[in-house]
Amino acid sequence: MSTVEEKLAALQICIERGKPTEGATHPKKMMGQPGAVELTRQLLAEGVGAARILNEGMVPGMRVVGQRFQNGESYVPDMLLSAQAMKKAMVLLEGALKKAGVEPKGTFICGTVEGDLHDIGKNLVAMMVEGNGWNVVDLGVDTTPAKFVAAANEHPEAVVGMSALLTTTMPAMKEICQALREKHPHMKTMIGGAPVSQFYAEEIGASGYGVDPWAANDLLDEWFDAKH
Amino acid sequence: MTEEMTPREQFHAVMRFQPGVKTLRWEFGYWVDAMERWYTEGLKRSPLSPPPDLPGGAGVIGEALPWPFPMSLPRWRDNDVHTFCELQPGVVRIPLNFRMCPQFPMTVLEEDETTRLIINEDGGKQRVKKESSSLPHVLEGPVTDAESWEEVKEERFNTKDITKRFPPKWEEQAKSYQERDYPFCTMSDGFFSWSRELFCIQNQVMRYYTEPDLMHDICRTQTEVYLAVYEELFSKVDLDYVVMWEDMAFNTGPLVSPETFAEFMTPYYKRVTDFLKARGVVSITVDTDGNCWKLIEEFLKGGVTGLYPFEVNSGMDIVKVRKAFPTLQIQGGLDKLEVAKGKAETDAELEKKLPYMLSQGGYIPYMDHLVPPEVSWENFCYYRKRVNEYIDRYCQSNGSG
Repeated sequence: MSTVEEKLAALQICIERGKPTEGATHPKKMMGQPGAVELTRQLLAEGVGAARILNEGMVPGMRVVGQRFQNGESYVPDMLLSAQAMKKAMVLLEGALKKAGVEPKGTFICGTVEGDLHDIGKNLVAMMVEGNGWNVVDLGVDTTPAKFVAAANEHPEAVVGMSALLTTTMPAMKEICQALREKHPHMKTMIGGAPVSQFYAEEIGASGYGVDPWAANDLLDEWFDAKH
Repeated sequence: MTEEMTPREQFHAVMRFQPGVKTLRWEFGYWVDAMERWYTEGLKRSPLSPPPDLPGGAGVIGEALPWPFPMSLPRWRDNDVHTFCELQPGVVRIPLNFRMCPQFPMTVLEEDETTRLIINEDGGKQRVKKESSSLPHVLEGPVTDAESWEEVKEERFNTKDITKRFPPKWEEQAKSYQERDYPFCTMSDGFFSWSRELFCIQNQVMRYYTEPDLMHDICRTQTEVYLAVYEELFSKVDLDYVVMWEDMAFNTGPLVSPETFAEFMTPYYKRVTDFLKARGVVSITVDTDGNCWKLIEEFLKGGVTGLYPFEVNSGMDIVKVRKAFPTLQIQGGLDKLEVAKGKAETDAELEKKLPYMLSQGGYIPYMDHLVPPEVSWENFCYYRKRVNEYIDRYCQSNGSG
């Protein structure tokens, strides 16, 4: 393996299959091979730009995993392992990206709504979105409308995502959408979670609905492309 | 014929798909917020009504869920809706401890205005809300690696002193259970959910890939503990029903692949279900919310006989499931969101499902999870009256009762 293209392709595979380092025991078939961290380090040392490493090596890998998840071909462990590999490799890239003036696509504010303490779905969305080049502001769980509004005030160009797992906490999404509309009428919002639906999104005036983490990501990209 | 049966006999008959037997009139339960709404809309309170300090979001358990319910969250057993809607006696659970024994001492690590950070009785670090019964935010399990698992196994999760997992004066209680006319059950974690409790989910699921031997050892130990508990139980009393709690699916699919389930869960389920079936247990049902379609085949291979509650909003269509899996015992599957809309929508939902499902047998109809406060008392009464009418009209004998 010697060319930059080959290394970028190998990096994509490491992200796709969740191999963070050479010493990682998973996947078994890749034991002893360089992982995402080693390949990123090598590419940087060879003078490959951080943006190219991100956009041609890492993001495509996360995209494959996200789409497989959407198609029911991969599952939560696959997503978590890929996100973990990406996160470890990104540590090497962050400084270089800043130096090169590469900006994130935008800011995505996310949180589980007030009264709800479930976060696995929200965390998966946050990982996917971050892996796709967005700056993520994760408000955590049990997030009040006031906290969502405060975050929106700090990041007025952001997109806001809300998650709920319980039918009894869904109504909080309506309250949050209303509060955001009053302060930031042009701000895009999306919702997700077990009890919600496209129909509910329309009912409460949310801009969109993400049926799964990659759908949420796709929607963000759609809005980003429309804006630019 | 059905009228002469005890609820226990009726449960056995329904679970065995016996022709000519009407199914049970049960519900899953209600959010306390729903019941508080209904008390203002005509439901009468009684001395057995949920107490006023039951926090918002608490579940008021119906007949279909084992009572007493094993989780430490505030719960209540419904009596008022049961009486008004003429529902039948529900499942009674023997409160066995299938988890940590001895338990960890409950410890409050810190608290703020609305939440507490605690170590719970199974050693998990969780943030819980003070004024509500929302499921806790699990931050960390008691197991973080192979070493901490060995400690937990040695000290709290093994087959030493199995009788400590039984309630006090267990042998006396066993005699009263022998005379029962109700379905009698146990409830435990399944082979996914206990590992989730040990690790917390984000740390658990990756380990099926990165530390398979550890995950197998956990399930193997869990199997040995369960079999030892059941040996003791069956030495004194028989059992009708076992519920195993998993909650292992999102609204779009399971948390792990069928292949992962096949390797890490099916063989352990099989050992336990074989043991139970050989001792006359008529239903071994898994409680899993979400879209569990892809796992049904593996559950059946593992010897599981039934599932509930079949959440409609997650794509669980009980008619399609019945056609694909003719011998699966099915409970639930009626769309609470349609009932909330009104009588016409309720009629459409029930007509779409009940004539077919009731005529096939092996089915107990109820709403697909706790009834939320969006459902009015008027709409709930209408729904329940109609379900009872369908039950009277249809059972498994060439399509009508």
